[in-house]
Amino acid sequence: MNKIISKVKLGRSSLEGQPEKSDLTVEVEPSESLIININSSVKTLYREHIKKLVSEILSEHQIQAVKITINDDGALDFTIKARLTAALFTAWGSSVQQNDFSHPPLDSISKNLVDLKSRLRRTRLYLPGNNPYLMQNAYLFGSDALIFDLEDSVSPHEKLPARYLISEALNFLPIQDQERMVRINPLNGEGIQDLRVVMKLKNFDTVLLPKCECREDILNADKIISYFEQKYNYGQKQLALIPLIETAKGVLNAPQIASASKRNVALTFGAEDFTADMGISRSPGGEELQGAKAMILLAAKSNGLQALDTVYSDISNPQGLEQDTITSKSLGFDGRGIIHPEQIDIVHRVYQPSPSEIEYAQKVVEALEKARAQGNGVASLGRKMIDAPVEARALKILKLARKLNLI
Amino acid sequence: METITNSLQRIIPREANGKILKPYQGAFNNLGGGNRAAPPIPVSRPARISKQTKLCKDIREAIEKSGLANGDTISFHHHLRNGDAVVNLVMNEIAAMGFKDLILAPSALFPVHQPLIELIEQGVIRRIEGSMNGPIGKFVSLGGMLPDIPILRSHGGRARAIEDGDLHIDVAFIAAPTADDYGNAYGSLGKSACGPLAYSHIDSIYADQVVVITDNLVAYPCIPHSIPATHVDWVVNIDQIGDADKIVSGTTRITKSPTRLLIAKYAVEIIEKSGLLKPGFSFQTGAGGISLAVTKYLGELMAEKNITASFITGGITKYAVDLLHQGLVGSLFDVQVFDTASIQSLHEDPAHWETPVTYYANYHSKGCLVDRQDIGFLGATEVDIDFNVNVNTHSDGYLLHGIGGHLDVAAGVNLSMILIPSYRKRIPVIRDSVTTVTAPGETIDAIVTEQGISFNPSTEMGRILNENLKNSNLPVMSISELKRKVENITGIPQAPQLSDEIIALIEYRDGTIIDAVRKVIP
Repeated sequence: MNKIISKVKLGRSSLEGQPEKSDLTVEVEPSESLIININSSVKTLYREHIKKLVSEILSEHQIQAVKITINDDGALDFTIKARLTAALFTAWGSSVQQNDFSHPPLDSISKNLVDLKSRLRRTRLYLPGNNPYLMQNAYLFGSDALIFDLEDSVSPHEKLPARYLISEALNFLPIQDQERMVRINPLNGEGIQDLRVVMKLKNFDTVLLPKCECREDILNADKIISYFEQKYNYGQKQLALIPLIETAKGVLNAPQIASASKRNVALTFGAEDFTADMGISRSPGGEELQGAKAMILLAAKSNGLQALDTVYSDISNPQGLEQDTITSKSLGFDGRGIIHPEQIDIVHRVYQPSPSEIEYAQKVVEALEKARAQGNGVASLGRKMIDAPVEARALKILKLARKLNLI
Repeated sequence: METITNSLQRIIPREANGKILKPYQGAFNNLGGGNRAAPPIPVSRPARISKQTKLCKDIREAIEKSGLANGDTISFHHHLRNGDAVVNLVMNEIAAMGFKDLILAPSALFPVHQPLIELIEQGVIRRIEGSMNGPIGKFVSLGGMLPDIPILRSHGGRARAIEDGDLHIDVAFIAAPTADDYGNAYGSLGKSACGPLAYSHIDSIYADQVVVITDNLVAYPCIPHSIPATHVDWVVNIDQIGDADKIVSGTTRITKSPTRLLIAKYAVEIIEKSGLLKPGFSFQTGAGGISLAVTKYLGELMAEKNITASFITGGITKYAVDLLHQGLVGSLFDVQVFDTASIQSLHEDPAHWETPVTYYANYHSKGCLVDRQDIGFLGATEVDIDFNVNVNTHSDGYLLHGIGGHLDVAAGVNLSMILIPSYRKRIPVIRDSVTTVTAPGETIDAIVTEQGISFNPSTEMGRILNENLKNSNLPVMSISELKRKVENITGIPQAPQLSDEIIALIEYRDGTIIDAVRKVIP
């Protein structure tokens, strides 16, 4: 590494400079020798552990002389690693690389992307990208997906530490069946730096791209992702893309956005920014959003993509969330964003096929099998004819029921 | 110091404070026998002859009249919690009067009682028997009470010690939110209302002298009352026995922590599948975040399944009162309350009954309430792979908490569950061996954390649960597996530096010593 050029302090702390819960502050200063100071609320039990971790990271970067001051309040290893790495990179200064992204967009999709297309996405839990405390247990609450957010929940001066925190969290947390999403910043802003850092460790599935307004936005994202996939040797692994549509222009261009890239697995709607863009406010019933939602639903479904609804932001109103989700499901949305773990069960309950729905679907399939065995192309159930759409709906319900261990 | 080893292989002193100690030999071994202690026959003071009144003009006069002497044991209850003014007022008066070497036997102490440290240093207080937490616990951890060794007891254990004669109280000071001049005292009315006076009921029977201190003196007779005048020697009326805002909270709120809510959901699912959830079942509630959430979720499940519980023991909060009012539970046994709604219910609802501690949890009684209870939800600072539970010390060795009713409930109920986050500030709760044993593993059936659930293979209920739940969606695993899983997240902590010197004893509910607490080297 080059010579240290600036003193840096990183990490979330209170006004008095105390670290936030499960977090730490790291101070990096020039020094003639190696000095490591550790203050920690768990120092009686973890001082040696933390010291060893810091030394390992320093030797990884071949740093022999530096003064490190750590002020810790029970941060886990991934947070310590992320904060220290971010501080070192900042202290040493890194020149922003200019890249040529004239990489072709994705033309053929691999198996992992095919699988991603059909993932269950009833709930996507948003996690503020610079808050380790909220990340640590988030995978335990059973949402279908986790969104590690670098955009709106992270203030501009926290973007850099947040990138390292998200990378290390994704590497550390034992996330098993949940889809790992990262919401990056727009690509005309911090988005490219976001991808440069978070794609390096190859440990997430899907990029959530905010403020998508036209086909070119998606094509551009696809190219940049392709570039980093090659740079970081992704091999057969391909990242999925979910465009977030949250402006009037984006809504009008939803069909072009949906068809712009083979990486697309879903379109999702962002109501907060959309209403701001329209100069209107959100009503409890959400009547003002109906046109935009219809457009996004049609654009998504006509391109074989899932449609995902916006968040329900009143966490103290479970009845409101349930009602809104029932409506959302009936319109055709496959799931919604959520902002608190307590919302998960409510949304999942709405999306859960009812016993009578499952029973009917089973009857439909049985009747068809029977008819086919007898050489008939069409079947009927009671006095109703079973046609292709009825069969498709029944199969979809059974697939979901199987996924949820209901049958 | 000469030491011996108890049946949990814990090294304890042979004697302490001039008494030979009994080593712990299993949770259900020291059954009692012999005779109880007895309070003195009061020297009768018929008003017709002496014209004497019990009402004293101030605390000093009451102390004088009680005949307090150096070296005596005095007691207090903790129903006023962190809003209590009485302990500090009385102790400061005692110090001003020049008394020394007193033994303090409170049912519990709170951070508000931190000024007692100064009195310990001055030699006014030589020892505490009962409960210790926060600042005083830290002081004791650093050797502040030596050469005396304080003894910590559970609620039931304290009642037993008094009845068995292990703890003789010379003067009991009882803060009373309402009282008359004859000593009838009541907790649920008055500006400093705290609900029951259950912790001090046993003190009022067995202490040589009993002083009631109130800030709401009402005309005789004070009815209803918790403490009868027949137990009381002296009465003092003062301006303020406590700070009402800190005695109870206006409302008790359920935790918002998703991790704790998840643990509560797991607990309710275990209860649902345990076979215990049937009409007439019973459970314990408390004011801890997870416990409140369990009460709420369990209430919802009971309503949904149309199952009515026979009783709740607590630790009563609005959530338990709501269940009573909804007809989902037949009665509430109330040892302490945490919010104003519960105080009102205790005053008004006939099925909400103030429960003296000896009735609630005394092992040497002729059968106590916890033995009839189905389910208990408990906390811990640590548990170990033998299911031993620590509630007293932290992993760094500091003695920071009292026992409460913990080990009594664990021993009594059919299903005892420890509900805890798997780590706090990266410190894992599951250890190879707990720093201090408070409740023995043989009384613990389940450990429930957000990372996983372990059932105790050495208890019958643990084995039943394991059988019923091993194929469920719940993350059931062995305790060693759970320990490893948590350590993968937290890393393995280094051992704290502890001296061999013993600074406190943990007494089990039967009067035996289950563990000794070591001095911390800071």
